[in-house]
Parts: sequence; structure tokens; C-alpha cells
Amino acid sequence: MAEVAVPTREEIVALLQAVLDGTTSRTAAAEWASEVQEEIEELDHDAVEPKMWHLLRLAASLDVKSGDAYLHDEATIRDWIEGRG
Amino acid sequence: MTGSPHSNDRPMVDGDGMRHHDRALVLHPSFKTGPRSVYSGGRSPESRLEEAAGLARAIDLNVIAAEIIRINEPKPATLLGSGGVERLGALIAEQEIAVVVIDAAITPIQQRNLERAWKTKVIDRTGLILEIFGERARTSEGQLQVELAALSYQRSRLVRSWTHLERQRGGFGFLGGPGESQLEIDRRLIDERIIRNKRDLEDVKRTRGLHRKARRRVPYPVVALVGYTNAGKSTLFNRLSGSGVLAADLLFATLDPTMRRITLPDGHEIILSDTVGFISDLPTELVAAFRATLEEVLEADLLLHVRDASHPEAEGQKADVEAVLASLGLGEMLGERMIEVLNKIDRIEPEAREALLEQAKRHPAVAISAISGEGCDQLIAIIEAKLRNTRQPAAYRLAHDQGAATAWLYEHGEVLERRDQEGHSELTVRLSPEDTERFERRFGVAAIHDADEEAKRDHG
Ligand SMILES: Nc1nc2c(ncn2[C@@H]2O[C@H](COP(=O)(O)OP(=O)(O)OP(=O)(O)O)[C@@H](O)[C@H]2O)c(=O)[nH]1
Ligand SMILES: [Mg+2]
Repeated sequence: MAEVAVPTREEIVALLQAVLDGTTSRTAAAEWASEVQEEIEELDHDAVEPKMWHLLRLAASLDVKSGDAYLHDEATIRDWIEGRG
Repeated sequence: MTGSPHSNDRPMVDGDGMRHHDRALVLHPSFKTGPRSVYSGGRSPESRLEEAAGLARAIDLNVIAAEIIRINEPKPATLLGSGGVERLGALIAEQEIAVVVIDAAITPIQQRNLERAWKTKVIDRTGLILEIFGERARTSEGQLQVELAALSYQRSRLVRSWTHLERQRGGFGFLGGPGESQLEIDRRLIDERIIRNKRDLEDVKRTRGLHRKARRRVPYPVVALVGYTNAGKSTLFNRLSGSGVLAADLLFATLDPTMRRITLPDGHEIILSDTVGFISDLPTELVAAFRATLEEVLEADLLLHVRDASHPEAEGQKADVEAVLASLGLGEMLGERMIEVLNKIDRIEPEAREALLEQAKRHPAVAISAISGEGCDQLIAIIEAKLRNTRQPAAYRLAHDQGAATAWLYEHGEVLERRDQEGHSELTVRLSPEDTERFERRFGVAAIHDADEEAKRDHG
């Protein structure tokens, strides 16, 4: 199977932190997570741990809205960072 | 009449002169003959009238009088016979009525003629519901959807009018009737706005990320509350999620879908979704436009059909909701993937209540009061059980060269555990029954054993 650059947990946490800090938009972060997810699906699932997969899917839904607000509020994102996804 | 405060008036959908607090007369035409609505569910004219008055109040109209008008044969020009037009005209003048709501679909000609005869604004049921939706929609997508619905409604109601003819007289007669060309100009203007509106909608959706190659779902089961307007969906949503969305004794209090992630007592996380309420004779324009805001419903793993069990027309409302669900292609959800919730049991007399609880047991349904909390623990237990049933964990052994099957499981299910062995992996995955069947058929594999135990160990 082809190589795929699977992000590490640290990388995803950094991304989430960037969203919290406002240096990355939710949409950009979600797009990135979706693309990575798609690549992994096409290439090599074996490279990803289920828990990481879950975190990636959460990240891909960062920009899902609920009414005027976002479904995942900042406290939730902090939970993910601390491993309480 | 128009002496009401205008400062906080928002423009209404078609912007032609209706104002909050206007004095209104609500009429429910009861036809002796003619087509019966598929959604009418055999309701009494009295309850239909009451609902229409509720709709009028929902946009702050000051309902001065409401009455049922019996119509033997609808008149093409004025709907009512001349006697009726006159009698109501006198009432309208005497009571200084500014808006007449007609709880039916009326033709543009009838609307115009009645407006002239009564010197009031006349609005029909679809127009009224569009007004309400126009006021309530909060998100830009919701607003655009309503606008689109209003535009197509307006387009369908363009009439050739005398003023148009006068304006055009002396024009290019050879290009066809002058009135017609004005009609065509109006139509073109509306079409242009429709095109612009659709483009804006696309933009909004794109920025929301809806158009990603494969749209990403939130990786939790979605439980959506559906039901007739005012049934208590938002009240239940608030109780289950501990949040404070607007719940009010107001028709169509909720228009924009709201979601919350909640953790069930068994540790599972779900997304609870509150949605716009249904109503009988939902304008077709709005059914189409609101499909998008019902997206969470379309993708839900479980529907809670919240019903106002204390309502005299509870059965008719149930039929309406089920008809709308079926028209949205959710007919199959009516079985296993739906829980019927009989709400507001606190409002039911003790004897009737016993009977209802008995009936609920047999039906099966769950009786609750979203206000007092009674029955809510039982409801939660049923949600947990249904979700366990709908998404059973199963284990599959897949060889390392079955990459496509592995990929499919990650895409469609929730992989709970993965054990890599020499030459193959074992995956424990939670899948819906449909997906289980699809997966096993497509890849010709069968589950190796009941994975419930592992799942509990890992996830519970
Ligand atoms: N007595 C009683 N009243 C209730 C109960 N649940 C809701 N209500 C009342 O019913 C009214 C409508 O409640 P909502 O929760 O706004 O209803 P909804 O289904 O969200 O309505 P829409 O958003 O308009 O579709 C409010 O006045 C609530 O207080 C209940 O269990 N018992
Ligand atoms: Mg509501």
C-alpha cells in the first residue's frame, strides 16, 4: 500500500489549539481534516488508530453549525485537546 | 389602524403594507364541496380556525375577530358570494380591520378583488406562513431559503392588472398584449432575484463546508425531534440537553435547527437536534425550501416524534406529520427508527391519563411531560435501547489485502477496536442494520461473533 502522511495526535492538537487561538479558521481546519480523512480512506486505513480516527472526524466537523453558533463550542474543543473526545 | 408603533417593524416578506399589531380578521372557509386537502386529517373547522388565529398571532397581528365562513360554491372572482363580501365589509369597516387572513389558498384575482372591496390587506394561508418564516429565520441560510420560497410564491401569483395595461398603453402592440409584456417584465425581475438568491445560497452552503467532496458527518448518532408546531419539541430539547432555546406558546417558535451534543447515562454521546415544526397544509414552496433545514432530520439515526397528547386534534396532527415525513422520503423511518413521544400528559385529566398510559404501553409510545419531567427517564432509556439496536457492534476479520472493505467500515461505521494479526485484522465496528447488510453483501463477509461484550468493555 502507498504511504500516507498520517497526522500525529500532536499535530491535530496543534490544529485545534490554533482554532482556539483564532489563528486558523474552523472552516480551514475542518477542510484540512476532511482532506486528510479522504486521503487515508483511499490509501491506507491500517495506518490509523481508531481513537485518532475519531479525533480526525471530530476535527472535520469543526464548522458544523447549530443555529447561529457552532455545534462544538470552545470548551468542547478543549476537552478534545485533553483527550476527552 | 396604522397608528401602531412602526419603530421595530421588520419588513414583511412581500413588503406590501402589513404591520405588527394590525387589527385582523381571521376567516376559515369551510367548503361544502371541492377538493379536500390531503393533510386536513379530518379536522373540525373550529380547530382549523383556532390554528389560523394562532398563526396570525404568531406574527403579532391583533386578532379582533375570527369566524368560519361556509361556502357552498367558491366564486372565481371573490371566493365568497356577494352577500358574504358585503356583510364582512361592514364588520371590517366597523371594527377598523386592517388585515384579513383567509385560511385557504386563494387565487391572486380573488385576493385583489377582496382587497378592493374591503379596502384592507388580504393574505392567504401560504402568505401568512411565509411571513412567519420570514420573521423567524435567523441564520443567513434560513433567511435565503424563506426568501426563495416567497419569490416563487410571488411568481406564481403575478396577475395581469389594469394598472399594468394603462402603463403600457400605446406601447409596442405588435409584441403581444401590452399587459402581457408587463407581466413578463415582472416575471423576469423575479426570476433574476431567484437566480441571485440561489447563488447566494450556494455560497452560504459552500462556506459551511457542505459541498466538500464527501460531506463529513459528526461522528455521533443524530437524534432529531420532529412534530407538529407547538407540540413541545423545544421544551423537551431543553430538558434533555440542559439548554435554553426558545420554547414558547407560539406557532413556529423554532425555525432554525439547533443541535447539542449530549451524553446519555450509558455513556454514549449523541447529537440532539431540534427542528422546525410541521403544520397542516404546509405550503409546497416551503416543503422544498425547508428540506435543507431539515437536513439533520434526513440524516438522523433516530426520530422522536413529539406529540401534544392534550390537543383535541392530536390524531389529525399525527397524520399531518407522518405525511410530511413520507413526502421527505422518510416513510421508512416511521417504523423501527422512530419513537413516539406523547407529551403534555400533565394537562390530561387523571382518568383519561390512565387510558393514555395503557394505550402508550401497547402502541408502543412513551408518555411524558417535558415541563414536569415525568416519563423523561423512561424516554432516555428507550433512546439508549433503540440506538443500541440500530447500531449493533459486530466484529469482522479482514485480510490485509481487503483494503476496500476496511475503508468502507471506517467510512460508514464507528470502529471501536482493531486487533492486527499476522495476515489479517479484526475490527469491531458499530453499524446500522442497513449498513451491516450492505457491507456483508458487498464484500461477501460475515461477522465473526457477537461483539457486544468487547464493545461494552471498550465503550461503556
Ligand atoms: N403543560 C405542558 N406544556 C408544555 C409541555 N411541553 C411544552 N409545553 C408548552 O407548549 C408550548 C410550546 O412548546 P415548544 O417547546 O415551544 O413547542 P415546539 O414544538 O418547539 O414548537 P415550534 O417550535 O413552534 O414548532 C410552550 O408554551 C410550552 O411551555 C408539557 O409537557 N406540558
Ligand atoms: Mg420549537
